[in-house]
Amino acid sequence: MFIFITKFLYVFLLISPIGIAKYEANLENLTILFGLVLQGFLGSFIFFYIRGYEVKNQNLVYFGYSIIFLGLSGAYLSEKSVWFLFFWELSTIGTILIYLGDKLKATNILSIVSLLIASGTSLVFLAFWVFSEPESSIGNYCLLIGLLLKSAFSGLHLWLPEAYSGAPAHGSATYSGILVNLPILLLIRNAQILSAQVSLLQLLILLASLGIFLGGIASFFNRDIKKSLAYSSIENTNLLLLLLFLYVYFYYIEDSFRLIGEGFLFLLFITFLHQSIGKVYQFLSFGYIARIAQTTSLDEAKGFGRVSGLSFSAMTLGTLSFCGVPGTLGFLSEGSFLYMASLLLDLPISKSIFILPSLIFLSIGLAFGAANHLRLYLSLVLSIPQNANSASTPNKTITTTLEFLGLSIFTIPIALFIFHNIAPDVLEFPIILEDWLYKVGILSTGVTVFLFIVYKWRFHKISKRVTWDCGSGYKERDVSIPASVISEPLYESVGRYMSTQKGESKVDSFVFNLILSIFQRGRLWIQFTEGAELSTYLFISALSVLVAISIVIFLSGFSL
Amino acid sequence: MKETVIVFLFHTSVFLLLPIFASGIIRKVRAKAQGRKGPPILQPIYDIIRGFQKKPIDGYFSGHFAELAPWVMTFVSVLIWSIVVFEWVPFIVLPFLLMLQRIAITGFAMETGTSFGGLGTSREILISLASEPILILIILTAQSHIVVDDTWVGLAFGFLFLGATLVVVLGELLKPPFDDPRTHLELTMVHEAMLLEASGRALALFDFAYQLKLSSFLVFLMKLALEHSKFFSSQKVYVNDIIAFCGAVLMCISIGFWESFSVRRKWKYVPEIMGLTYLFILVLGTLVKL
Repeated sequence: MFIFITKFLYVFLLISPIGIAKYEANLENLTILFGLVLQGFLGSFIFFYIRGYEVKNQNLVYFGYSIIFLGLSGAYLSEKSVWFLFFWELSTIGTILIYLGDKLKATNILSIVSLLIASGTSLVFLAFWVFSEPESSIGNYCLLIGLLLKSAFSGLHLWLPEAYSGAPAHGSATYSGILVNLPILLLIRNAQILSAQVSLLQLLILLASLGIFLGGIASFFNRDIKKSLAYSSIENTNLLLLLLFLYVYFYYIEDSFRLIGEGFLFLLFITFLHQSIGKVYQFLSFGYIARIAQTTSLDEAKGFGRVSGLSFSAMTLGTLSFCGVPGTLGFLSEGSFLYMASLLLDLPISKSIFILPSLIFLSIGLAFGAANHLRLYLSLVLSIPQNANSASTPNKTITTTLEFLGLSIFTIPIALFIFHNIAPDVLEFPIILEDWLYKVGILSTGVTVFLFIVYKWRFHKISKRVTWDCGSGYKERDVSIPASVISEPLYESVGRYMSTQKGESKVDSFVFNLILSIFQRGRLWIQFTEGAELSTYLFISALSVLVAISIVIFLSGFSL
Repeated sequence: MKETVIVFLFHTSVFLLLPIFASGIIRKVRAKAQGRKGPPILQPIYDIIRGFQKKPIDGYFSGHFAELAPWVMTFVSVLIWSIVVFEWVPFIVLPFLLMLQRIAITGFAMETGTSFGGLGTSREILISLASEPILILIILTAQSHIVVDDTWVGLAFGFLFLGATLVVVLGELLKPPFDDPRTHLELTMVHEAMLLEASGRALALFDFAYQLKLSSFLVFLMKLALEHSKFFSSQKVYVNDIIAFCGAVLMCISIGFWESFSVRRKWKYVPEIMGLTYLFILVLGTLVKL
């Protein structure tokens, strides 16, 4: 039964983009189509990956994914209606099933709870939006809060590290590459609500930059493989949101700079591709290494990539993209972003003054984010393992899945470049980026071709092996370095302000403690009411009703 | 048309010649400043040619990176050098190409699994992380149309900016106070530590890539100074280019002197020096923009 439903829903996953055909061609519908196609593309890779990853309850996991993808497709296609809320929640409920491939652990439960809290809280705000009047400003603000919460916007991201790190590798990949796309794409669809308040938009731009900065640094100093990638996801989603805000600012508010706005919109979609494909690849690849090492500790899993049975290209290509190596999607995204940023520097000071401070956070956050991926790669894949005794049997399904997914990181930029030159009317580049993309297309193609040639036909083949190292009789596995050796030297100068010695984010811990102290007040309230007399209960009830009525009156006044 | 041909020929000759002499000039000046005769100016190139004729021997754990990294390093260095000389792509691509080089060289060092490979990698990432945000700011400035006025205040700003940029360039080129390859002490090295397992043709390619990188950064620095200042800027492109390439040779001489009396500083100073440089450039940039 499960298998039948799963197959049916998988076909639905692939054909759901057709559902958009009945709508007219405009930006809002393009976002839906983009989200559905990306989901179908990445979802297929995840389906294949599960075949090699899950041993027990495989059908149940498949069924869970079918529910998730059904929920997401439904949420994309349904408009402002109860159906939207239904599908939104359906996608969250489906996630519970994907944990059942193995015995549930404490980290799994924490992950499910974090996801449910985030999804449930955002659902409350979205329900308010669905049931509000079409032009209600309070409804629009609720939509904004709901979507920003689910997309892990700076300050609202606390749920994400636990949710991603406790899930199985394919689960983290789905959350990071597919699930998080829905709220951001819905924000693009409702971009007008952002343009209503210029000062709010400027604040959001600054906060998104701060999110990139904090995400980049937290990821670099974290010592857990999946948490490190999770913080990197926070950095990436905040970059997406920043691009969205910049698009809205320049397209809707500054009419004379619409071309810059169009450039940011195009860049937003490119970054979406990079973020989604790259993150799915990284979680699937490093998640598998963590499974082989039977630990998510970065230092303990040192060098397990060597014995994981995965091929070189199944572990490397995602890192190349996140480091922005020319030829990859990451380069197209981050290089174009820097190009756009340089255009902002040329704007009159009155138009760019609020963006310039953001560039400070951005440049540091992006540098740390890229260094984090390099650190993970060097330690997990190239270091010499301390505890591994023998190499694992190569897993052909997982290797093939990752290789094909990695191939798309290099082929999509070239395909876009070629397609634009063949059919410029179908794939139109924004005027402001046209010249840049043309030159970058040539460079990317050249680098990709060179890397392919040098990889395929090695100009140097290893024939003789001798070491010059004077390791005083120590074996390589004793002296090879773990990831913390790379991040530790910067701890005193940068890390200690934002990270604990163990790699946990100090900012997140502070906010967590703040929330806990608020809940602590609730506990005091309970102690106060326990054993109280009837008059106390009556007083509390009356007070509660008064507070509720005040809130309703306040909100009604606001919406007027 | 005639001017275009002359400019192209000039660019091509600089493209071919400067990397051959740059490192040799630095070594020669350093030796003279220390009262020694020093090796011939072309000695670095003789070493590269000699190394290229030898078959490399690899470490026990070497793999893909040992086979790929030397060629990738050289190819990317040629790309960077061509971009700096001919400007066929905006300078914004430079940090990304440098990142590809960084992946190649750190991958090579880590793959061998030796203690010095790991040590060099850790230090390389420390330096690169400290310098990359500054490099991004500099590249953004290079790409923008911000120009320093031809006043004395403008000149002072220009020189201060150039001085701050030079700090990053020294970091990227692994020169004192960030690295000192001359000591040949493993515990003080960065670049050399990462290449300890490289030999023969592989080592020659790494060295050749470094020569190109040196020339690229020096010419980039001079072009940055000229293109964003009304002080020296000429309407004719080739005049600017001649000044830039002569300036690069002067920079080689200055670095030679600098190397003769400077040493590598303690590691804890690296983030501090870079952090201060970052703030300095930010303040300068804001003042110029205002």
